[in-house]
Amino acid sequence: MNRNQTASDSDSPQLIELGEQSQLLVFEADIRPDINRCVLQLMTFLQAKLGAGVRLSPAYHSLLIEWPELPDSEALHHYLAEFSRRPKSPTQASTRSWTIPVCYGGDHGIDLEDLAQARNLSPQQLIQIHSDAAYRVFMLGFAPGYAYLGPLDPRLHSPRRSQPRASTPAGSISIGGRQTLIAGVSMPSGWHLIGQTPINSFRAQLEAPSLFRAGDAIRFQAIDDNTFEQWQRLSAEQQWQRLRQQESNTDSSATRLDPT
Amino acid sequence: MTIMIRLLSCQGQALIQDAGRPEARAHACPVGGAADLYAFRCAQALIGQSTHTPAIELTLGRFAFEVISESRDKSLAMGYAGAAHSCSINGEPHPPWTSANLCHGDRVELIANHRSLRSYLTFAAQFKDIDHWMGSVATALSVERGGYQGRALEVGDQVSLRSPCYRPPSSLCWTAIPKDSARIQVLPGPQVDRFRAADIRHFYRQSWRISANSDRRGIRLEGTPLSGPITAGLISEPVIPGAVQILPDGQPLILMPDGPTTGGYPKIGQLSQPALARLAQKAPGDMIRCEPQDIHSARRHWQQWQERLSQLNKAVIPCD
Repeated sequence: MNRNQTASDSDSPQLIELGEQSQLLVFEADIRPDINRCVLQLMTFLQAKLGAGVRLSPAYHSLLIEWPELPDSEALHHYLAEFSRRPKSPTQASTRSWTIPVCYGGDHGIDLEDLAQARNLSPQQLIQIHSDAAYRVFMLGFAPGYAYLGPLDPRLHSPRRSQPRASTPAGSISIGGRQTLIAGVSMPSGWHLIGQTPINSFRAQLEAPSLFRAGDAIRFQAIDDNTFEQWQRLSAEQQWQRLRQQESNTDSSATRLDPT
Repeated sequence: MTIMIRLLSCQGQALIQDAGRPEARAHACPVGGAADLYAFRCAQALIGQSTHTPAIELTLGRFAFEVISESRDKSLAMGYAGAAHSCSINGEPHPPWTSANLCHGDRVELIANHRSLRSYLTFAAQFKDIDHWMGSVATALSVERGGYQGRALEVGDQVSLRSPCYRPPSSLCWTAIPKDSARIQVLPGPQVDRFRAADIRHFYRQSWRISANSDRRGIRLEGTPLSGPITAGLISEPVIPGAVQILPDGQPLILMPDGPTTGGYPKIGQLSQPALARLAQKAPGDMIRCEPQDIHSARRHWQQWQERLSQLNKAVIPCD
């Protein structure tokens, strides 16, 4: 074990020294909602104890701590012990649900066919498996508008590409390892591009610029090129309004995703 | 009163920067900010400005601007740090790590001298009409916010400054001027234990070349690849600037201030903050050697480095 790491048990995170002013708290390395909820609860708990000067950033199973000066490890250990003793609360903040339109394959998902072949599936099967599942947003990370989802059906798990691409389209829906994501702005990526959403998930002019939040429920709905273009013609504001209208529709499973 | 600098030529990247926006990480936006924090702070200290004062970060290339002032007798103090460009004012060479006062009609030219990568210009005035976003004016190119209209400066741009001030011309004491070094201190990364011992030795022994495929998001290193096996992709976790990822081809990518906020490639190391500031001055083709450093030693050095940064104003000497 790295000398800069402390041992952990199943309930408390491992502490990893990262940089001069930063540390990582790492739970079990798995993509599970209960682990992710623990990360988010720990973040809320520590933020209240350590104050606004300390920055906390959650991911799937880990939490970054950035201190204003050098880390106060004594205080941190004290609060981690307190956190591990807390009564486990089954309550959960209410979840927002989104149905996200995706155009799979073709120019919108240039890796779909190769990935299907590598996984011994037809492209239609891959699309079905991917779009049938219910996902949770585990974290916002990497770049503006990127929402990282899970769990991904094991039949679709794929190591990242050996050669990352210098640029991938905004709104890409992609697969990397055990994860799937909704991309925001165009970025280099080593993931497999299987589709594209016309939804702009980041609006820089807003105080709350991200459409998604950790804990949101996501479902994908396959659309064709025409519908894709219709959505693209809407402004980001209009897109968000439509999605919100559809989110509040109680019979969302029967609703056809419609940009008009 | 307003004074303007008008870009007469701009070949290379000119970006308005400050110390960055830590609160942006919650929205997966890079913290950004001046890549060489040390030179940035020197540029501020040279004109007696606070640590909140923004600068124009120049990377390679050549730039020229003229000063246009409503009032002919008003001076604008300018700090110039980083020494990556040969600076001249109205044709007269002007040394780096100094300040000067500019008047209406003055023309400043900066040409990359390839001794380092980035220079910082500060002004004893307030930038007008630049974009404040999430507590910072640093340029966030990926979302077109911050800085000058969320983009790099271009020929013809007119950057307005309000309340220009004169400052006694000064220079930075030579002891505070950073010394060039190819040695970059690297702490153990979160996944260092997943690498074979032979690969870790190789990483620290190799002379790595800075790839041309590098920018404010990340610096690619070229050399004999680590032979692996490289740990397969991991679940994405938070990363900070200075993280040393090993990509599937066995070569390192060091994340810089505009880089991603999370990543799934295994990290063999993490640059110390002073090392990251020095790396920000390495140009494509330059060679570096990574030197192992432990976290306790790095934290002790950090305190000394913070001390040096906070005392920079004392290292600024008025010229005659």
